[in-house]
Amino acid sequence: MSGELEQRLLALGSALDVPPAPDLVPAVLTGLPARRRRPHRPAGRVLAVAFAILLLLASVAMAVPTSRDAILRAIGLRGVSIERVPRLPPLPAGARTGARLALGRPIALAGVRHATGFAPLLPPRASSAYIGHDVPGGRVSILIGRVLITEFRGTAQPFVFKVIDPNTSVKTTRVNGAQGVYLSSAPHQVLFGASNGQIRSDRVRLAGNVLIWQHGPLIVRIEGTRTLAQALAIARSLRG
Amino acid sequence: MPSAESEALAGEERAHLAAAVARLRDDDQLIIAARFFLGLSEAETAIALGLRPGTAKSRLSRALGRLQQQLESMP
Repeated sequence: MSGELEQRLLALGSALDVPPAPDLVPAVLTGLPARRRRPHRPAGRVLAVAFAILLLLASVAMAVPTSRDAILRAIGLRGVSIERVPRLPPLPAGARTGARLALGRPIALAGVRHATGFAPLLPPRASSAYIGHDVPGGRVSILIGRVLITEFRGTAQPFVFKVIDPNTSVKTTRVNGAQGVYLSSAPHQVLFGASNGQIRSDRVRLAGNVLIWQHGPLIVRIEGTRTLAQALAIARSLRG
Repeated sequence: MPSAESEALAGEERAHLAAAVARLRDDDQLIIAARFFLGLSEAETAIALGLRPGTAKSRLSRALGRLQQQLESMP
């Protein structure tokens, strides 16, 4: 394929960022649907943005606003980065044996709030709860059947994930008013800023689907649900 | 500093290219806009459109091929 054509398209794309025309920003973003309706179909927001761009290209002769960041935010990709790697580091020893997921010390759910230096979100019921110290500030892990909720102090945004499966699907969503990301179909590793300022990585404990979001100073993760709807229902049940 | 004439030519060239893109079918417009106008990487384009990376790459390649044909057919 012609590299020259790609360069011309990039130049055209760059021209979109040049002349400031703030009044056009709302025109680009107005009416964009809230979320993609079905997987493996063009995202509605992207579609709307693309047509808006092309319409503006035709009608205002390049006088399109500085809107790349706004567009990326609108389509929900801003702050999400996916890195595909050949393999992930192994889980801690014994992590795959039954309930021994290297979650730390068992603790009663009622005692979790007193055992941590932060205010965790707690579900109304749980099978078991654990306190770990592998993350600065400590980590709370709560099992509800085969679903694992993990919470610790840190910064997840921008969301950075390492995945090993090219079929991993990534979907941005709103979780209790915050931006969240839902990854399905593959184990993965999450990079985050720990409370001591260092960049750390953490591998999810359960293969499968994971919902992750930032709740104030906490990173909250729900692993092992079958669907996004189930994960969101659990997220809504959590109380601080 | 570019002259007024060269700027006019560049603007004309961009308008010509934009018109060619606008004549493409919807899904071709979409993937070209995502990749080149929004500046998404190939991986981000695949994520944004809900496609597998290989599928996004092949669709983009076909879209560029049709764009090239469109440009050649335009006066």
